[in-house]
Amino acid sequence: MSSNSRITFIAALLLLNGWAAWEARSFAELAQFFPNYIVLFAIPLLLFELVREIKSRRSNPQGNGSTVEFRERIPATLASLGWFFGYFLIIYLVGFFVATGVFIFMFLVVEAKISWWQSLFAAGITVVITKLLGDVLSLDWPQSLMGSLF
Amino acid sequence: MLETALQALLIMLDPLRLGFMLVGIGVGIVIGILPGLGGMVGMSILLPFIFGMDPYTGIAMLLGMAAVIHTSDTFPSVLMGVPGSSGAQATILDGYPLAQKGEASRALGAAFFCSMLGGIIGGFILFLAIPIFRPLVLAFKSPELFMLSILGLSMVGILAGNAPTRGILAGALGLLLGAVGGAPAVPEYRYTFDMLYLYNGIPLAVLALGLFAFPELLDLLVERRSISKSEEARGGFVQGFKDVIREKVLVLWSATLGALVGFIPGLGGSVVNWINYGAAMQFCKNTENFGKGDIRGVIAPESGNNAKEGGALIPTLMFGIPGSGTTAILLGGLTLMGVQVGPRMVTDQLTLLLSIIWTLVLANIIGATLCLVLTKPMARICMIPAQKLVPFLLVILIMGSYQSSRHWGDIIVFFTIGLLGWVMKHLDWPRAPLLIGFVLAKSTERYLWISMSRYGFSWLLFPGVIIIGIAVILLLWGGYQLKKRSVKQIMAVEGGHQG
Repeated sequence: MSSNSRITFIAALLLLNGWAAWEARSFAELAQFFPNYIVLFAIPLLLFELVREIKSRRSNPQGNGSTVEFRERIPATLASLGWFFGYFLIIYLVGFFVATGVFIFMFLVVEAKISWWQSLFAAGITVVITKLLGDVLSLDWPQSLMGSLF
Repeated sequence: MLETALQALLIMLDPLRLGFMLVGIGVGIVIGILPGLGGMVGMSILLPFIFGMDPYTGIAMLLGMAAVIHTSDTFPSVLMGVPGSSGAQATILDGYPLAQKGEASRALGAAFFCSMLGGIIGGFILFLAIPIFRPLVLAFKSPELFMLSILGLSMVGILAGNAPTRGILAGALGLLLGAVGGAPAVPEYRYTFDMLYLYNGIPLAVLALGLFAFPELLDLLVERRSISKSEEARGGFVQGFKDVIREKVLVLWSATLGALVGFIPGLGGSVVNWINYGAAMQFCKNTENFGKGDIRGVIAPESGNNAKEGGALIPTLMFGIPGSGTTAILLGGLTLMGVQVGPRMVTDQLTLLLSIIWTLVLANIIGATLCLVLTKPMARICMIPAQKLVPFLLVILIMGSYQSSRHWGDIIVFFTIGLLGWVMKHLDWPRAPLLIGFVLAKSTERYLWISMSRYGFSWLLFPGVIIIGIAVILLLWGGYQLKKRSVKQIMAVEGGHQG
């Protein structure tokens, strides 16, 4: 990843630690110690890492091969994240089993280029096995907006 | 004693009891393979079935299940880079890179063989250690337990690779994430945003799955390849057997360490495998390939986590102190069967105690054999292209994550931590230290608070504290020296190539 991303990540961690220390002020005294010790230890190290990263960026402003490689990966990564988000969203809307069936079917047809009937079979088998496993192991499933309809 | 041991073995070899043990082993294998499900789920499933059973049969089933979870949990750790249970987190570091090289069968073969040996060695070590370690464990108070947590945290430095600052910072982030939820000292809920889900803290299983599994799934899809980057499958499980035989001293050392650490209530399996991994890095020579697919990185944690099961039973059975959720349910089960745990187990109920050790030994042998049979077909998973594999893995991971608290928060945290893990992976920030920090956060804070409120600063002068403190310093110093030496070796090799 690029040097900018590294600096941004360290800055985000600095902000997180700062916020953790600020938030800890509202805790009871005995609950403050642990997070405060961690933050007191982490912030100087983060500043050290930030300075080191900035120095390394100045010495090599063009970045390296991995920067270009990372940029090329972004569209495919976003597309994959889209699939994951979509699956979560369908679970939230219609429940785990229907969402699982739809997700597997769509994914196999679109991404894996498997014929629709084979994808349908794979999706069906997955739903049946998941259901059976859930019944045997007494597993729970995420609640959906549709509630008990599915 | 030997006569009683033989009598206990004959009791356990009764076909009915063996049958129930097999049922337990079957459940244990399935639970281990499914990421996110652990011993507590297995115990909860089997507990209703023990009503009316005699203690030997009930124990055969319950312990048969618990003993093999840490054998079969190697499948997801090696094949998918996902911890099958909390005790298989360290196995990923070298098991998954081996699978990527097309050596999944070798890694699995070695893991199952040393799991079996570890379980057997652990059982026998405990048989011998009961009279010696009982007074020692009873002498452990909060300051010593706090120092043991610090010993675990010192592994962060060792596992940080070539980026010690980043490793320590990742460990600190893990500690901070571990501070979410109820504070141990006072009724105060920290960093919960008034969300009920976060009152109990972030579940370990969800954090581990998000941190390690999510980034792998994403990268598999982006790169559109199979888990194995190599087209051909090299090194079958026989090669794994040979590796274990070659590293027999490491197996013995790791199993002994695993059993002894398991002895200490409250530390748990998730700590044992990291301690074993870190100790192996200290113990072995030429450690520069650790984390890149070194078979010793699989052997050490796998030998230790099965041996730990026997150790964890001792405080439960001898003192009635359950060291984990799994042993707490087991304790309930034993009470249901009319077994009174406590020091009398060694005197009045020696046959029962020995039957427990036999159950561990037999279950480890049977479980490892069954897993070996499954190795070949399971290893083929590594060759399946990502587009055909990832949707099914995602379903399993969502299913596993959701079982932690059975709340939508599990899925949201899985996704959030997953993105954090992905960023850390691509920025070369080590993820293992974060997990160690998280695992040890609660115990570190709790024992520090109890030590300070009971003893002030005088606990710093306790002999046990000083001894463990010296061990921590030696460990860090040894790690630093070894690292310096390996860097010199690498530079010398690179210099030689360039010359």
